[in-house]
Amino acid sequence: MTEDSQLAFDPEEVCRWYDNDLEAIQELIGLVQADLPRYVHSLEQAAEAGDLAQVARVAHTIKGAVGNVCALRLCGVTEALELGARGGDARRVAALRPDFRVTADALLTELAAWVRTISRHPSSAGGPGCQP
Amino acid sequence: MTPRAAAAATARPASVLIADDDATTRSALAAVLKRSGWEAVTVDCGTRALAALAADDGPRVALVDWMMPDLSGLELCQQVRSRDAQLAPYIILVTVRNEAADIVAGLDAGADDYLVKPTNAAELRARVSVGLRTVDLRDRLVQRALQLETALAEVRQLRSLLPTCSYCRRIRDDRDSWQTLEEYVSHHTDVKFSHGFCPQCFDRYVRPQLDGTLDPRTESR
Repeated sequence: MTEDSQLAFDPEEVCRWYDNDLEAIQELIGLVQADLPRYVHSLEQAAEAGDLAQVARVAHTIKGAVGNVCALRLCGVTEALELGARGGDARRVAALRPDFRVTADALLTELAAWVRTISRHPSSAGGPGCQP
Repeated sequence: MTPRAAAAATARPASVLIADDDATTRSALAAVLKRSGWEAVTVDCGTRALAALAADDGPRVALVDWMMPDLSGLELCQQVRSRDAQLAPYIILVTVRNEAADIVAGLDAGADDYLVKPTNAAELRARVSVGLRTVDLRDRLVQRALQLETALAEVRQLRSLLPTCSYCRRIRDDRDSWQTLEEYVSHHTDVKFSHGFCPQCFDRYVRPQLDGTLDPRTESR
């Protein structure tokens, strides 16, 4: 899968990783939906304040959290943010922030859409690889 | 361990500690463990993880995040390793850091294994199984070593100089109590005594009695 074609979140991969345990996956997604906006706000605040150490810490936390739902695109962006902040590169951090916001929003939108879909049609959770 | 405690321990599912400051990761790992029939004990920082592992009935396998605010996974490994090595838990570092240098640093700090986040459920189950198997084997080895040490101590005691009474031939044990040879040896070994006569004693003590009994002159007295 190329960088451009990456989904914000890959339901099929998530189902495969968690042995099609829809209940556990929905619980995880619920946690990401609850935590991510808070983390995004925290990272933005730290970046505004020029606190690169905090940016690196929060970016690391986001990377770990969204990795649990195979959100590879946001993982990639937050890894770049973490590395930039850790290296003290404020310009790099500033350049990545718009992409970070867009990717985080896209993830939340896709997660919400997936949850709506499986609430109506559980068998369509992750395509053929994910049966409830 | 008493038989009842051993039975209870066998019946209870193995518990695995999850130490991570991110709630999503804790839930992700716990979901996989519970599905596999293990009990997941979750904590959100290194200090609580250390306390949980130090508890008498604490988990023997731990999934530990590298980066935690108070005590990092590496520091946790180092502190655990500085304690009693025989009872040390099996620690699996779980982290997004996937460079070879990171893996080496983690293992050098005392981790037994290393998993990169996000963690595949099947791989996680396999690694935890290895951990539980390793801990069980180590526990049995420790128990066996203790039994051997005890047996060796008893053998050493038998081979050492025995303080013996010059008259009655009783032997003084390590509690300053005097025992007959039979008592002493029976206590320190599995030897059972049967009693008979050596040829010399038979001639000296038994035969005169037998001769006396059978002698009609003795009987008529």
